[in-house]
Amino acid sequence: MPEVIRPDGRIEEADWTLVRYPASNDPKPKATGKAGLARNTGEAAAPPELVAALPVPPSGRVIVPLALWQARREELQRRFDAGEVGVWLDACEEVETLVAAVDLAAVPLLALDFPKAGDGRAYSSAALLRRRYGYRGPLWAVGDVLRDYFVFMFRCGFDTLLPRPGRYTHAQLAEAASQLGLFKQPYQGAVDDPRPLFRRVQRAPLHA
Amino acid sequence: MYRYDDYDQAFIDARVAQFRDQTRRYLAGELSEDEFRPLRLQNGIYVERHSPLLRIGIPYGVLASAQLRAIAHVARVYDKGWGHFSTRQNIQLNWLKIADIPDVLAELAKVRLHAIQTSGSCVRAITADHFAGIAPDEEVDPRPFAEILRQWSSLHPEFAHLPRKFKFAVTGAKSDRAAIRVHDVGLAFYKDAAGEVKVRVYVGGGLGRTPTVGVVIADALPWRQLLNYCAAILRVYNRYGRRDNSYKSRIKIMVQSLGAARMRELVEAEWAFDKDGPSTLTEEELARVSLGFAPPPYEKVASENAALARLQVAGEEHPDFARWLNRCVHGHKQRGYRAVTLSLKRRGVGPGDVTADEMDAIAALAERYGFGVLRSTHTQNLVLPDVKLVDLFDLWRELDSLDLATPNTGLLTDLVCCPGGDLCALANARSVPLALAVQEQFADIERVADLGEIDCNISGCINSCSHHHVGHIGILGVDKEGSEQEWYQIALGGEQGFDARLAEIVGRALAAEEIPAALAKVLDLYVEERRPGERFIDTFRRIGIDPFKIRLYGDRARVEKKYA
Repeated sequence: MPEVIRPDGRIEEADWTLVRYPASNDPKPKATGKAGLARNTGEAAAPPELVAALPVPPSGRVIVPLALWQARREELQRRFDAGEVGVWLDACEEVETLVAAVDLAAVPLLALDFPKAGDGRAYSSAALLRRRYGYRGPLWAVGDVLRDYFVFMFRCGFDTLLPRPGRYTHAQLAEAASQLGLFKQPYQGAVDDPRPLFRRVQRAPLHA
Repeated sequence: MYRYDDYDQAFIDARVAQFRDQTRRYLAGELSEDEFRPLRLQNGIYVERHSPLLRIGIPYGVLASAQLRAIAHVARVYDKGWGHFSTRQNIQLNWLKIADIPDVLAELAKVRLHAIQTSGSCVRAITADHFAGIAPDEEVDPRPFAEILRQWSSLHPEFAHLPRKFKFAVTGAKSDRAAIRVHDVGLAFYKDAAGEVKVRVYVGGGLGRTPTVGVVIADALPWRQLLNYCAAILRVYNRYGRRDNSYKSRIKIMVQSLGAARMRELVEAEWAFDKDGPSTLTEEELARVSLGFAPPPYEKVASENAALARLQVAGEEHPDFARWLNRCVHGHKQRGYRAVTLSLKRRGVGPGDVTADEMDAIAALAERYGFGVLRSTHTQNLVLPDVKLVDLFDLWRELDSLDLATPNTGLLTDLVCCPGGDLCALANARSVPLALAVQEQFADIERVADLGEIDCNISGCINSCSHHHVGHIGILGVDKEGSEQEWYQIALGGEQGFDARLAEIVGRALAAEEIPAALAKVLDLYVEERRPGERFIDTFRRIGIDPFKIRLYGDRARVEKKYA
């Protein structure tokens, strides 16, 4: 079973199955240009045929793509009501679409995808879900979830991080967990504590 | 200057420990090249043609003598004993080993230096007017705000992976010496009629492949809103900036495609949510940070007249001193004081390059002729900010003996030049040898002085590190496929400042060895055409580019207009 990590450093087995599009749908790098990978915000995460054809495990707790939830809601509604269907958002999808399509008070779990570590859109999506839309349920980071960015993810409101299966050994995750507190007092406010340092502590007066 | 408290120090110490562990994992094969790259970049490390380069941040260009000595020390111990001041007001060491860099960073952290976010797709080290706090034309000292922004943007979790790099520049003066309109965000601080500090916010400037002058999206932002508003800009950019093509990922492309009005709407809508949120600045925090930029204990001087008279006499005896006074000494808010530029544009030395021994000597001068603080400029010079008028002659003697008194500040040979193809892996051309050739062609300082103020910027490639698009004369190394030679394009008429303008390309690229002579032709034409008191750029504005085309390319200029 893949492992997830929590803000307090606990490592647990993932008790949800992430339903992903087949890898062949991942956008290919273009011949020219250095980045040439990501779809831009507002573009469709997957074509409708793919959404229609994507197999969903018939039982157990599943996290399905937003587009799948939108297109195949009737098929999944009963399981949703039983608390077994979570929804994940691609980095190119807007959090506003998610908020319009999913009842935030009812959904048992939301996840945001990092298609690659350098794509930072999900940080903003997480912050918006927590602070603007008041989502209080479980929020998972999935995809290219690298240990060097765990703290950023927790600070932006994720409470569960799911690295790609096989990316880290248990020992490596444990080591990463032990480093979560390295930066004791970050300068800026974020979702975990909206107060910047200057409101959090009494900073000593400076001298010229 | 701003002194770190325990929180600041703990932060950079933790950053060193973090990078030490990341380096260990990289060298042990736990981190792939692709995974390590953004980690090292956000710690200022590039891997260049020959070896890793470390870009050490000099936030808003303020550097203490002790810090410069520490840089000299690491340059000697871990590098080849010299460094390069860049157009980001930072300093770069060029010959390090990856395995040594954690130790280098640990040494630097002892003197409150770091390389955090001097590179990478994040908010970069913030640049500022190099005369901030001392310029006679300044309304608001922007350094406390720059420091507040530095802290806020350091390891900001939401903006850790922006579509592309993001550069802030700040000024609080009536004239812009920080090129704020060619930065992703330019902040101009000023006082309104009621004496309240406000900010004019420019967004979407930048050079590189798509040179663009930033546009105003907020005219009178209250200073307390600074972080809220900047967060709104960054959130909009983080969400909607293009990520499919790194050439189109800067915020300027977004602003161009949306238009300033729509960009402003998006930012305002985002800002509305956090307008009075917890990141709203407080009087207390501004006062606390500002104390770090309080004026040093200046000596009170009743009148400058006697000192000025003595300088006049010394200038008559020493024409070189008179030239230096004229070019390298600048006005100061405080009576009896001046700011002094140490020209790093010397014959035979790469622009911005300084040896470790020179760094130590400069650090000592900053203590003897000031308060142990220096400034670095985005034109790759250093400044002693607080020199007593009565000390200028003695200082000049010392600088002259160190080859730091070339009286060319603001003149043609004050060339701004990137490291180029000698070191940089991106460059098409070796800009430094060209700069040296131009220095030789224009070695006669009287001739250079007669040509007057000219910003000449040489970039080794389209990434435009030397800001050639906003040079009065911009020279760009271009790639000609299949050619062994190096080729350069000349552009004319660029300008920095609040009325920034982009230079126009004159014509087809010329071979490197043709450039000094071509420059001479351009300047001969200026000398023929100029009216009394006209600077090069004024004459250019009046007569336009065509006479320059004809002078450089003859009648072929007409045929080759398509290249322009």
